[in-house]
Parts: sequence; C-alpha cells; structure tokens
Amino acid sequence: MRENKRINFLIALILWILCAGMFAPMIFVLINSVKTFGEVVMEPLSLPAVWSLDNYAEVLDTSNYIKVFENTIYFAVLSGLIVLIFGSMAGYGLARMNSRVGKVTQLVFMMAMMLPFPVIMIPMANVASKMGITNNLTRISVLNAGFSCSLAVIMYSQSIRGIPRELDECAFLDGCSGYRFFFSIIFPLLKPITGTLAVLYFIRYWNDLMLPLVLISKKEYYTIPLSQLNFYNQFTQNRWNLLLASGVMAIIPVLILYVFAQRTIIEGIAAGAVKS
Amino acid sequence: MKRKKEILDYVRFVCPMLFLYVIFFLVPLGQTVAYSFTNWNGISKQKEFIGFANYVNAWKDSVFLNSMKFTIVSAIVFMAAANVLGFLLALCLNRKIRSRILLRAIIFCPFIFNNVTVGFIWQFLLGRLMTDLYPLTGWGIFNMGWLSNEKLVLYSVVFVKLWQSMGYFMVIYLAGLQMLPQDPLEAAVIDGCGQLRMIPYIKLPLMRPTIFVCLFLAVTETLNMYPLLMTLTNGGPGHASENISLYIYTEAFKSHNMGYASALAVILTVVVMIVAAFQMKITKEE
Repeated sequence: MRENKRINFLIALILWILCAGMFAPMIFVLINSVKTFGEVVMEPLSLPAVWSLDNYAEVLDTSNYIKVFENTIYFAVLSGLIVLIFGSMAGYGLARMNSRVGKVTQLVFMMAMMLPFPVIMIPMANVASKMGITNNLTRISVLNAGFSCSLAVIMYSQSIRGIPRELDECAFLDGCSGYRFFFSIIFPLLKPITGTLAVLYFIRYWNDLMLPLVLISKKEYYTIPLSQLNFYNQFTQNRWNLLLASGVMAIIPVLILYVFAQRTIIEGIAAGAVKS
Repeated sequence: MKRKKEILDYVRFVCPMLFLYVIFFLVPLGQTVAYSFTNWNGISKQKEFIGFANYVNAWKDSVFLNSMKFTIVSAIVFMAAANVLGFLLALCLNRKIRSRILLRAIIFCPFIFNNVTVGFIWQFLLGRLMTDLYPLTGWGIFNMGWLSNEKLVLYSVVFVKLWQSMGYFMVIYLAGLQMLPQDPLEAAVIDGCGQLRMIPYIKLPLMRPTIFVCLFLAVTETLNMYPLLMTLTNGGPGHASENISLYIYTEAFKSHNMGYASALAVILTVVVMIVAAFQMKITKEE
C-alpha cells in the first residue's frame, strides 16, 4: 500500500514531540539530583550552583547500594532459573498428556494468572516465617518461582505441542528418554520461547516490590525496590536530593539492559501479553 | 504400558513445579479463606472463629467501600485512556516511518522502571515542582493541587500510570495490527475504501481478540498498581486514592487486622474471578 510521505512526516513529528514531553520531566529529576538539599527546596527550577556527584556518593554509602544490587540480581536470576527449568519440564509433561488429569492440572496452573498478590500475601507471610523462608534470599526465590510459574508453564506447554511426538518415540527407540531426552533434545528446541520468558520474568522479578516487602525485614537482604521504598519512607520530607539520586540509580541498571536488548524485551513482553 | 509411562512422566516432569505451586499458591489461597472467618491479629497464637462477621463489617466499612469505588473508577478511566491511546499510537507506528523502531523503544521505556521509583519521582514533579511553576508562569493548571485535591488525585494517578504503561498497550496493539490478515485489507482498497475509513470498519472488528486482551490487562494493571500508589500518594489525601489492594495491605500489615484483611482479599478474589470468567466467555464466543 502506498503511504503519503507528508502525512508520515507529520506523524513522526507529533510522536517525537510526545516523546520529548514524556521525558522532559526526567530532565528536572536529573538536574535536581545533583543539587544540594537547599537548592532543591528553594529553587527546584534553577540549575545547580555546583555540579557535583556528592548525592550519588552518599546514596551509594547509606543505602549500601552494591549489596542491594547484588541481592536483586541473585533474587531475579535464581527465581528465573527455577521457573524456566521446572516450568519447561511441567510444560512438556502437560503437552504430552492426553488424559483429563493433564487438562485439569493446566487449569489449576492458570488460576494464579489473574489473581493479584494481596490475595495470598497474608498466609504467605505466616507460612514463610514458620518455614524459615523469611530473610533468606535462596528460599524466597524458590517460593517466588512456585507462585509465579503459571505463565511459563502455559507458554511452554503451548509451544511444546508444536513439536511432533514422533521425535519422542524415535529417541525412545534409540534408548534416550526421561530427563536426558528432555534436556538434550527438547529443551534446545525451545530456545526462542525460553528467551522471551527469561526477559519477561527477569524484568518482573527485578521490579517486584511486594514479595520482598512481606518476606524481607533485614537490611542486608534488601532488593532495589524495597530499598527504594525504605529510602522514601526515611527521607521523603527532608532529603529530596538524595531520594532523586537514588531513584536515578535504581533506574540506570535496567535502562542499560534496555538499551542493548530493547528489541527482545519489547517483543518478549508483547508476546507474553498476547499468549496469556 | 502406555498408561504407566504417562503416570511416570507426570511424576517426574509435572510434579516438581506443581509441588512448589501448590504449597506456595494454592495452600495460601485456601488459608486466606480460612483466616477470613477469624479475628486473628497476626501475632497472637489463638484465632477465634467469628463466622461471617468480617464480611458483614466490610459492607459497613466506608473506607473499604471507598477503596472499591476508587478501584473501579480508576480501572474504567485507565482502561478507556490506555486502550484509545495505545491503539492510536500503534496505528501511527504501523506506518512506514523511518524512526519507528526508535520511537517505539522510547515510548515503551518507562514500563520497565520500577513502580516505587516512578511513584516518588512523580510525587516530586506533581507535588513539589508544580507549586514552583505556578508563580513563575501564572498558569492555573499548576495551582490545582494535583495530588492534594481529593477529586483530582484519581486523574493524577491514572496519568502517571498512563505515562508508565501506554507504551505497553501500544506494543500489544502493534503486534495485533501486524498479525492482521492482508486479504480483507486489500479487498477493501480495491472496493475503494479509504485509509481512514478502514480503521473503524475493517481493522477494529478484526482486532477484537487483541482488544479483549488489552481490556483485561488494563484491569490487572490497575489492581496491581499499589506499589506505585504507596510512594505517589500513599493513599492520600485521606483515603481518596486508596486502591483495594493497598487497603488490604494496610489493614493486614499496618493495622494487624489479618482476619479482616483476609475477608477483603476473598471478596477481591471473587470479583476478579467474575471479571475473568466474563472475559473468557466473550473470548470463546469470538
């Protein structure tokens, strides 16, 4: 179809203005994050008298940023690995079943997709403290994987249905079955969907506030969103300069990832939404 | 033989994930229901069975009813705005604009920021910066108390949520537009249908499945925006911007009314289930 070049130029112009409008406020945030507290309160619109990174240094120190950063990576990556490995196995099992049990199990897995977290948060906090899960990032990751696995299971089982069963039978005749068959033959075939899910889950876990909020009380196990909330509650009235600097620092890691993998991230998230 | 293999496969492949899912999702869900009939405060050992008292109290609790109202109104406003904007943006980016990949990336970008940070950054912008802009410009729009006026706060919240996630809806609609079958579109062109008229008469009806997905996602997005609310308004002024999820959290972990909060969670579950069943039914009919 032919498109009018002039209209396209106009649309592009409007969209660029929209983008500028969306990110203009962020310039204020950046500028204010390098000012002193007095300047932020008295003249939030003016440029700083001295450009210094003191705020950032102070945040790095007081919020124990490096440790928090490590915790977040550990939590997001470990939960993600558990979800992808066990989720793909469950997806395979469900895709190869013909009986009613398989269908019912799939429906059971779907239940968690629509319910918001507050629905299970109260008993979860209780159970977790009894089982010694609170303040232990490894155990929290296992719990996290367990209750957020729905999307992985459903998406894997859908895409495994597209792999012919004859493959299973051939491998079985050649004496390859069980876990060895699954991980050496089926799992490599699932690379595209695994990539999509890895991106989806990583971003979701990286930004997750509620689970850490309910299960983590000690500062040395804080993740980035939790540490941000804590910072906010501590400094909201009196230290806007530090708060803004910490906000910028929380956004930067995920922004760097986004710059390099924006295509995969966007397409992964769109695919995840449509298939669910 | 075949049946035996199926059982074996179920045990070794499905059960590990199912086990984690059952103990960390289904069991807590059941316990929420059980707690909702007690007056447990989260600390003491004993829980007294009090029947439906929590549910009865919920209907008399004006804060709860208000949070329910806020949730529904914000869901409707957000649903309308996010879908219209998302669809329009997708239509624009579906054209052969040279910078479309970059534009898509920039508009989508805020969606990956964490809610807590987005919340307090916008509190700074809407609460602090605006009060300083007013004397400078004299524009009334900066002097309306976007976060301190009980009526306006809903729109501020929806605005921030839109800023963050309109790119999300745009990307989903864009995927939907790109999957449209080409034949009806070409047939329409041959029949003399203009580009603009094509949108309501041909593209929109063909996009119905995508539209349903987006409407449903808009509801879940508003239900899950409480981390944003925590730092943007913290439910204020008063309880004017308290969403149901945030209210459950406050009741459970700030006021320690675990039993009562569980009853509210059960009510929320039932409501969400009804909406989901409704949506599934419509999708199936399509």
